[in-house]
Amino acid sequence: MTVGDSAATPLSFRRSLSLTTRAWLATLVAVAVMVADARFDWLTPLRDGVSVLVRPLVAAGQWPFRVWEMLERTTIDVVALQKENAELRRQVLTLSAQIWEGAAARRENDRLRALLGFAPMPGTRLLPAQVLYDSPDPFSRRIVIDRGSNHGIQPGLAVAAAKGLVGQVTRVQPLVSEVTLMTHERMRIPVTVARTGMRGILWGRGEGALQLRDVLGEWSVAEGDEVVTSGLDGLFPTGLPVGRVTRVEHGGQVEPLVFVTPFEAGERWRQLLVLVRDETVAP
Amino acid sequence: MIVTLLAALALDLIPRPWMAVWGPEATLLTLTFWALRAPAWTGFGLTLLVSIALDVGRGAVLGQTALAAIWVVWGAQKWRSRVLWFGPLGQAAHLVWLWAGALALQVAVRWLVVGDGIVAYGYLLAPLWMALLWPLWYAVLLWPQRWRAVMPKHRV
Repeated sequence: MTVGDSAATPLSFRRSLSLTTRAWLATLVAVAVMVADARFDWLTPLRDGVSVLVRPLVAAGQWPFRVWEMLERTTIDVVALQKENAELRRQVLTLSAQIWEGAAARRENDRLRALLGFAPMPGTRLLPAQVLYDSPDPFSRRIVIDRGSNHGIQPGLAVAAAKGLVGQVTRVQPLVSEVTLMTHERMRIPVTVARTGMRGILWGRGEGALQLRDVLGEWSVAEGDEVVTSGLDGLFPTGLPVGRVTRVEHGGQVEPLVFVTPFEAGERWRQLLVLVRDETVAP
Repeated sequence: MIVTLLAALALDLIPRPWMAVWGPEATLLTLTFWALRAPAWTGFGLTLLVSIALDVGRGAVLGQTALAAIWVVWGAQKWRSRVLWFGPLGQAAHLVWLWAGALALQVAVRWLVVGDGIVAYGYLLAPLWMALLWPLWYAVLLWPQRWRAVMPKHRV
């Protein structure tokens, strides 16, 4: 045996990198992974692959909640169920009337657009999705839904609940998707004030708040105005309810500060609707 | 070890709306335990793998949990002789600073590198809950080893 012959050196006498050096190397790897994922989106295949592997663990973690929900369903109060049923029947009648009115308006709109020579409006279908969980990531306001690329979901699609817009699909994996809530600091939604037609951009401000900024033309907005999507980004459908103007401050600034409270601000949804453009619906 | 890490991952992926971000990190607790009790088996490669799986499950940026976990494992291995000299409560008093420092580093690096600020400040309470949970965690993870120690000698 010669000195320095690593193959012949007993295991306990071999020297490797120190603990601290190895920690720094691992830190470099972690930072590189962060940058590659967050800045350049290079690790989507890795994320997709690992998400399929992690899925059984997520399901195992959710199993007690599923059992609890099942128990709740089996022990539900009959009187409460009857009341809920009556309320749902009333809502069905009201919604049916609104659907007839909407369909008639749609037909008239299509006819007028055809007369004027405009292209037909792209259709949208509603894909129901179940909220699996809120992301516990402290850096984001996201929820995870049980529909992914296997179900025809694509990044950028709008996600709504009963009263209006909730957020946007920002990451799609084969079996699940992540929805960034519209109150996230990085969310920007092109909107229109329904009463005046004023267009602007709605900025997420976190903590359930939105601010109307970047208005084109003259400001024409008042407290109580309804804000809907303008559809100018080609991602969100036109006219989807977003929120209501709750505060307008003219504090000597060039532009007033306009704050909007979203219609869907509960962040406790169980079922949501993904607004899928017709061409993206899975067969 | 692998079974406990998988169980901790499943625990961390449980939807917990009542403590969405400030709850204890089961994976970090388990990695700390194994870094103290079996440092030769708890390397940075394993730490990276487990942390990335957790990030994928949570929909977080990949690598952010790893950043905290790496330095927790480093600290636990570096000071294991001192930490193990104490009982579980004394260990928790030492480890809480390690967890707090690692999570603070994670927040700082993510802010510097990715540009994301923290939006849920309750997250900063997580080390406190982890310290409170540590004695129970330590006892549960140590239990199979105690059980083996009291097994009859004729059983292998």
